[in-house]
Amino acid sequence: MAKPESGIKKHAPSRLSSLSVLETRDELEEKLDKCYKCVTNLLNGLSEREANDALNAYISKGAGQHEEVQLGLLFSILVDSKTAVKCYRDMTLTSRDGLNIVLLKTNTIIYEKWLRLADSVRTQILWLIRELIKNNVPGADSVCFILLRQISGGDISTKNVYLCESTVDMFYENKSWLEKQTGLIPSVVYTFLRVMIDHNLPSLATVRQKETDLCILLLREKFVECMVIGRDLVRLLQNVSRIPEFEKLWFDLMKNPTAISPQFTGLLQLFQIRTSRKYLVSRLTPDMENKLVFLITKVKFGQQKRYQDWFQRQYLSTPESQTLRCDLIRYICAVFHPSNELLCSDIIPRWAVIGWLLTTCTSPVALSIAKLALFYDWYFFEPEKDSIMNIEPAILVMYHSMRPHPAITATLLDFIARTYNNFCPMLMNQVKQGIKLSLQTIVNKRVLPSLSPLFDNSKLDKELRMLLQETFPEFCSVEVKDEVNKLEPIDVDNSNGENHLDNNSSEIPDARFSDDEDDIPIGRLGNDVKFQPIRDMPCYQHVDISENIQQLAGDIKDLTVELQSER
Amino acid sequence: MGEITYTYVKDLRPGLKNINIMFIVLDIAKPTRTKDGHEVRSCKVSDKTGCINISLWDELGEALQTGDICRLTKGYANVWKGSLTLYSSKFGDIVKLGEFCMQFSETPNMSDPNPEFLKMVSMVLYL
Repeated sequence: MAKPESGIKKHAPSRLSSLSVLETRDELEEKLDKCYKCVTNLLNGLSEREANDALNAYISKGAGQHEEVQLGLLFSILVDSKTAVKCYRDMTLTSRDGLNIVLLKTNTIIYEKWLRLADSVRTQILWLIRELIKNNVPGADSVCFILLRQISGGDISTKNVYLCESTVDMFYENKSWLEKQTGLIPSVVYTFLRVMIDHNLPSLATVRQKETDLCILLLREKFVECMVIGRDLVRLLQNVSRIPEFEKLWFDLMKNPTAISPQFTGLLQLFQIRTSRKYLVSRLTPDMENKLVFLITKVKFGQQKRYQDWFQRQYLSTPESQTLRCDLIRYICAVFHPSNELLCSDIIPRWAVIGWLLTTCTSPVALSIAKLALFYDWYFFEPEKDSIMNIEPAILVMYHSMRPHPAITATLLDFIARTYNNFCPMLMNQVKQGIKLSLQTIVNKRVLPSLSPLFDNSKLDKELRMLLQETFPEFCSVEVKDEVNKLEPIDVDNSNGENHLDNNSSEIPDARFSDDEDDIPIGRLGNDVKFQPIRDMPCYQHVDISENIQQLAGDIKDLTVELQSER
Repeated sequence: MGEITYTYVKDLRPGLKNINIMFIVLDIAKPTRTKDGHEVRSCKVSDKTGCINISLWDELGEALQTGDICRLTKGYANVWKGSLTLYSSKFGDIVKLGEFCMQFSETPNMSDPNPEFLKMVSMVLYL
């Protein structure tokens, strides 16, 4: 065997990041360190007054020297807390660009390097942002926005919880500043409403209460600013509706909207706003987004297994991380819309990534909110305002899973059929119209030529087919109608023109779904895709939930126990 | 320093020296212990042209994770137990550049037994 030859060179130690033996300082740190050394040399042995003169004299030589001093002082703040106060003061006094260089570099460090930053550097960054806010520096809001992106959904590690708590504290202590940042407010609300559901352990009750207080404050006082988020604001509010403060808010949202804001007319108004991508993007850290985008733009269909395993290992392997799946699904449906070129390529399609995210989910509760996330743009779909690309992944994952993994298709069909009636009883007609318009648009735009292969498929059990038949009669074919017990469809909405729908049964590619074929993947579905059927199918089985009830808290627990004893 | 030229995995041959190469780590085998107490890990690494095993010693192998993207400088390739294998050398370096975002191909596997490589080794030995 070859002799052990180490191959490790002594790398210069990093003061920003904790590096393994395999990692080196990057160019960014090299540059900052050079500036830092320059400033240190400049100030060596000088009194405070002399120091100020020396810095000013150096800066007056040119823009390069100005940048050097600004970045050197920034680096000193980050790596040496003892110098922070003095360096911050020098930095402000000598800045000739309103701290622009400092803000830009700070944003880059947070955006690109946060994951690897040493804890002490993270603390210093939070200190710096507080100073920027306190001194009302223009641009502090953009640093806050980038910092919020580093708050990771589905992560209750000490580091992430510390970041949540420090950020909430920072905003709460600077309420009057925050209330003036109209662009930042919705991001703050969206972030903390989202991560709040992760903080449901007793040990995290304090953090959660702080998050609740901040969100309620902003929602109550700045609701119009928050409305720009769009319908996903409602989705997140649904998840926290059991928290007493939000229960009260929900009451007003439904019964007394003008009490929240005179410009707010009710839930429908929110539901009709397509969520701005900005907020959906913000719930993925830059690292998650990079990796997910690489997967859906560069990885060939059939070769995704290792990438999915790596992503799963890093972000989806713990019980608490299961809630992240809904953020990823919202991103895929509503943010990432592939070009035609990409759609025609051999890159993994969006629906296959969603299939993976659904089938590997280990928590029934998280799976349920993930399904809701998948269909969220269906309920109030308006062809003129909404994009077909938002609703396409759901229909395609159902269609393509039918043969290899009918359980996935069944659970999703069951979900959409049930939410058709139950999603929002107050707005039942609008929901029904939204879902039907979604289905109609899917057929009109020929995402699928016909829905019959989905709704009339003999792979689905009889009860589900009857439910679909009852719910979506106009999208089922005639033959199957005769086969199952015919129930009069309830005429829920006469105004939406559903009756004009053509019967597309003549276009059904029935060969693909006929019964006598083997259970092999259809169409583009490669053999390598390992869908695992979801174990808990939504059929009516007696399950003992006593154990699960223990995980609930408050009213919901009492109500569930009550319900259980009724049986 | 001049510009570094990189070799592709598919172009690796027994006896090749001064190899600069970028790869993504696909598999890391359980470490084996040498008589003098070193841990050796055989890792399957890949670029878009193919894959090969690399042998890594001690803390280098320990610090590595699958999905890591690395740059090896001044490595060399040779046949070990019938398989073409990549090694780091004391003159070179191995540095992690990133994670995940690199395309790879698992074929051809350059570490699969290849009679031609064996022939090349015997020639190298007699040089």
